[in-house]
Amino acid sequence: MIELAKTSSTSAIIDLYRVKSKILISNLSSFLRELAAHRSAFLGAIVIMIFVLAAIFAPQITPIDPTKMRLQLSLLPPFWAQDEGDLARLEKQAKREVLKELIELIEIDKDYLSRLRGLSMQEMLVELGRLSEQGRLDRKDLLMLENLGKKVMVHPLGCDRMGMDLLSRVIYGTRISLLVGILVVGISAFIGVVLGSFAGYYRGWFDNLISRFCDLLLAFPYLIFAILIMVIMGGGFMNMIFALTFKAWVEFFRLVRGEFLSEKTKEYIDAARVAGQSSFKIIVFEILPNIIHSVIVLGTLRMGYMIIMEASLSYLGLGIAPPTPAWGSMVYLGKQDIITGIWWTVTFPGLAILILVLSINLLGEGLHDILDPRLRVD
Amino acid sequence: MTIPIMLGVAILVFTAMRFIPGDPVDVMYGESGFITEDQLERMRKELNLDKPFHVQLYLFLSGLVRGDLGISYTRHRPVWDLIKERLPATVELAFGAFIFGIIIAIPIGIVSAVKQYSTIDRTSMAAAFVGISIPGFILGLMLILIFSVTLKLLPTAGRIDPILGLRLKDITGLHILDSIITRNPRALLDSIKHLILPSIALGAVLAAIVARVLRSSMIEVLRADYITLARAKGLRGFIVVTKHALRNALIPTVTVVGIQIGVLLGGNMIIECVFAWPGMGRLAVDAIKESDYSVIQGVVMIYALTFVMANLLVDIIYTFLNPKIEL
Repeated sequence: MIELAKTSSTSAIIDLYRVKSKILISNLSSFLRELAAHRSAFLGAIVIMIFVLAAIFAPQITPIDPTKMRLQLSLLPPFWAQDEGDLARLEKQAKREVLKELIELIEIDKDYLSRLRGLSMQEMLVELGRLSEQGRLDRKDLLMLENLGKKVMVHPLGCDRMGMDLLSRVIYGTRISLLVGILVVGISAFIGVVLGSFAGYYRGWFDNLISRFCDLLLAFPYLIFAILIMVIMGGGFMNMIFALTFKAWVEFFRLVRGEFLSEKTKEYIDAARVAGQSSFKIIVFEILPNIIHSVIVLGTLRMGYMIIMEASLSYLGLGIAPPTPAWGSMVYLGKQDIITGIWWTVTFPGLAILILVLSINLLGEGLHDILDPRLRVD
Repeated sequence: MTIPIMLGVAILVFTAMRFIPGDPVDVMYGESGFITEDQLERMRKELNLDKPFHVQLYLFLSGLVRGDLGISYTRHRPVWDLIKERLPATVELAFGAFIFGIIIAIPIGIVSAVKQYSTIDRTSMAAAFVGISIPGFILGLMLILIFSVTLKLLPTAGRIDPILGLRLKDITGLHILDSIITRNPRALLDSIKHLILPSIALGAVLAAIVARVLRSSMIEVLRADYITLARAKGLRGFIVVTKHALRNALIPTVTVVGIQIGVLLGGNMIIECVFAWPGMGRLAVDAIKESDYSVIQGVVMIYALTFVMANLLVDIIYTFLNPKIEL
């Protein structure tokens, strides 16, 4: 009899979950439909997707190594502004690298090498083809050398002072920015939700303690506080995540705590308690699902801010140190040259930050419109 | 509430700075190599580094009350003197940014609310959205590229032309005020020219946020019954908007400005770096490069205390605007 009761209650619970997951799926699909209908949020989401794809497939889509310095190509302008001299520089550099590889591959006597040096890129490739026909150079190696030459010749957005390719660096820089945004917001949201829900639900000394600590942290301007932590701990990626998270969770804590305070007084909580649910279950299964949307909205909006903070710290020389490609440090490297009219080293990473943060904010505001029912009244 | 928080800030900063590995005395004199271990020991005693932590903390706090922030490790001068020299520049920039932010934001916020969904509204709100998404240093560098490098209209760095600066008598430290007092129109013009770009770069975020908040609270207020009544009484639209609606719409705006003061203070550090502005933020960044921890500690303290005081000020303004709230 007890067995039977157990199984029937289990199947009832399973049924309940089936219904719940069906609701979830229909909610999700209606949410996606609303997102698609919200023009600016949809645009933001698309641009973010492009950035995410760029970050994931950076090694596949970048033409060349973002940290390789080619001092000959220092401050090369973007392709539409390249003049005769720049093209000559590019060709010289490409020839140099191809020849360097060639010497590694096969034995060449000095006279032949100096003759090769005197040739143009086009002529040199013809000469290499002849070498391959003679059987001295592998077909595969020939292709590799041709590719290398082509790759070095192309720098669509130009180079920075150290001769590093700007396009590759902007693409790779996406990784740092997105990772900082996701990690800082993810960790802070988690800490904030856990502490906030317990503090808001149980109140008491625990709530008091954490709230006072938050007041203390809030007394510091955000960037100043992050700088303080970075000075103490030193630069680097993980330290920066730590420095930014150290204060970022406070906002999530205050949001969740506040929501819990107001939710706790509502009738469905009384109903759940009468039905015999434990406090833990009430927190996790009753209240959290009702407030999580505001955490998502806050998280999205904060992500843009965190990316700005990362760039600012790197710009001050406290975050990611060059030559690792990060947008903030790229701007820092390019800053000294803008007085002489070298605009591209600063503008491209700057634009990247602006476009990414702008799209994240567009999505965040859109989510706010879609997910926050209180705004829908009018 | 303000005083315990200030105390907490001081203790937190002091404690955090103790976590830095290495000995301050080594930073001060270690590189010169002319100093014996004996002298180093004496220096440590002089700086109270030989005493236990709680005694050091007590000395730090009691010094703080007297305005004593310790001695700079690398410049060998009192930190407070260093900060005092730089403070007028920072105040001038902050003031410039604030004025720019408010002057731009309030009319935009009002017009956008009154003419909702008009072209002006859409354009200015799009601009405001860009304003909240662009980091200050990028905006600053773009302004330099456009107005200084390309158009050659405005200077790129500093507060004043060095030659004019030397001739300008130092009364308040604020160049604009000094040149007005001494009736020096050339210095006045030059220092205003220097101030324009940094103020825009620093004030843009503030302007964007204030315009957005003011617009939305204004829209809400304009729908209220008492506005309809005021209009029904036959008051002119302009008076209704500025006298009746604006006051109430300002309440949420002031709150937001209060929150933004922190952003302004942090941004100040960055903008001072971009424009080589000889203020407190630049002092801090230089100190970071030189590992001058006592200066960093001092500047962070000043920033945090300013922030706390500013929030207190916002609370006070708030009660003026909204008599329902008491302090």
